[in-house]
Amino acid sequence: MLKVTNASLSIGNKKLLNGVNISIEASEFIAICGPNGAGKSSLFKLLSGELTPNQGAVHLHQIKLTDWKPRQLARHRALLQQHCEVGFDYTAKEVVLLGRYPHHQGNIQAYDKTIAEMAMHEMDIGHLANQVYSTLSGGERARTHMARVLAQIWDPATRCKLLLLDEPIASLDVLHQHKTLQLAKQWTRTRKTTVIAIVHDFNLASQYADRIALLHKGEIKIFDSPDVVMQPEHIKSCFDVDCIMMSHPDDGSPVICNRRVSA
Amino acid sequence: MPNISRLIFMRPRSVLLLLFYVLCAAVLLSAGIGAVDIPPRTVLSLITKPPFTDAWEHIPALQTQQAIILWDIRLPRLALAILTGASLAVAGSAMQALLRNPLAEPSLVGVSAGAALFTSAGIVLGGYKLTVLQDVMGELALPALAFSGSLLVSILIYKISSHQSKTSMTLMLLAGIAINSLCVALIGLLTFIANDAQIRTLTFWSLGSLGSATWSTVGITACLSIIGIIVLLRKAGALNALALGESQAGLLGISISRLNRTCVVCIALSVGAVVSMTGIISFVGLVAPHIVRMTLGPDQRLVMPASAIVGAILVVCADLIARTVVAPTEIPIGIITTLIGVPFFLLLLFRMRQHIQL
Repeated sequence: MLKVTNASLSIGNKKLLNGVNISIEASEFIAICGPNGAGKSSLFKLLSGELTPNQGAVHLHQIKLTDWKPRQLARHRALLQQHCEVGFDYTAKEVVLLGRYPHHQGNIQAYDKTIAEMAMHEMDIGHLANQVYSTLSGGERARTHMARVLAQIWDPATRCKLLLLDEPIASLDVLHQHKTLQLAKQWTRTRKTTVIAIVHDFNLASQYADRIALLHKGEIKIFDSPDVVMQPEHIKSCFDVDCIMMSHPDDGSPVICNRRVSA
Repeated sequence: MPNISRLIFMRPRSVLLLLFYVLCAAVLLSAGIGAVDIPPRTVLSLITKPPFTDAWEHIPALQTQQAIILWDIRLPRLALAILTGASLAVAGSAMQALLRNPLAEPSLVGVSAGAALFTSAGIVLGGYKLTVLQDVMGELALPALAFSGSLLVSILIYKISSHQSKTSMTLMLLAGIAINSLCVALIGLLTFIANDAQIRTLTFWSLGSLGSATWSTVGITACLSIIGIIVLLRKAGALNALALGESQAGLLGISISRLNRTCVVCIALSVGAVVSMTGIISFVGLVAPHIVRMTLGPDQRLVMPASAIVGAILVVCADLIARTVVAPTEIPIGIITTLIGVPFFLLLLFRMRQHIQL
């Protein structure tokens, strides 16, 4: 479904990604973890087609990303960015409707409005529809953008959709962190969507993700199921933090408990 | 900023229709007032009797003078006023959306001044070359010069203010102010080389006037600026998406570089076409879109057509003031629009001061 072959990316003299190889199946939920500056967001820029690798290639459905028509690509993949601000006083619903642009091209139909409402309902922001975006709290803004990217690839008829989430839960409360990841997981199961999310919290990642990719200094260190990835030696080599492995009392998913960093 | 930013929740079509009626009323009023007053009823009856038709022959002898004044002086001037208002307002709202900056305005950032500079320079320095250009292009010569001026300034400002797909509001405004001052100073410099007749033309270009309106100049302006307006109106949906930033808009399948190019050229075209006939008329492109955004919200699909009509109403009214207050002479219309526009601009800064990041 999504295949990255030997992709390298450098901007100026700085090498951001170095020979990345990933192959992701349809309907998988992938979490990407890694320390600050490991190249997570750069990898997302390659996966979304915003940047093209200096070397190597990214294929979505066996078609090279650069060969996709922009509008077709926009109907198949959506990217939630870490920082996204909205100019002018659009309401939350108008922002969500902007996500439908690849479908309506500026000529909004009743169908688009229904989808926008459903997407907002999914993210618990139905009651904020007519509020002006700039008056929303940080978490509410994040959920508005999440609803917008969901609306972008909502159509059930579209096969093999790709949803890229760059730190989707960073500004959310604990309930909405779980709700968002649960929703993403559910989309992989019921809506044939592949979800790739950058998550900083290993314990949340292991509860929801099918596989975790550990990115370090522009390279994929390990890309496997949570049990394999979440070993103290991998955490130590990437993050330089000692930790203890445990298992979640509910489902036995791995949980790590970090040790204090020596001063 | 208040929670509810919209004062009016009406169907877009009814809003546009309402504004259109207001414009018609303003036109009717303005057509009737002047050195010779024409009652609204007479205006309405004469407007159905254009020259060179059979109806023209049936105008009662008493109304002949009024008919000539209406058709030769008032109506072309009103048509130019409507075109000017609409072009400046649509260009202003497009520019604001393009730069994601509510303070962008063609006359504030030097786009109008660039057009005025090129036209003035053409007139003062062109001499024989301008005559040749006018022989080749006819009445298109001055609009073409104005268009090159406004396009050059637009591209320059855009290049200076955007860096790595981000557009800096501060850079844009500062660069615009600098270029604006430069153009105004250069126009000032031209007055030293110009002869008396040219000096009058230069003053007119720096402060704006609709006095030169004839049907042929209106026709030229209309052809050029309407092309610009229509293309910009068709980009309204994409300009909405641009509110999310260039990178998000790109992810929605919009070709950002193409959108930027099209909009910059069309803004320059509609502003240039108007400025070559009227000179610099400031603040219309700022005031009209803002009145609309404050009352109807920021949806460009509504903002652009509605500000076109509001801009036309503003210019029609400002011109009425300009030519009647100190009759028989005229105040340059740019002075009137600036007198209205500056307090409005300051009010806007006052409202935005919490959000603004310079």
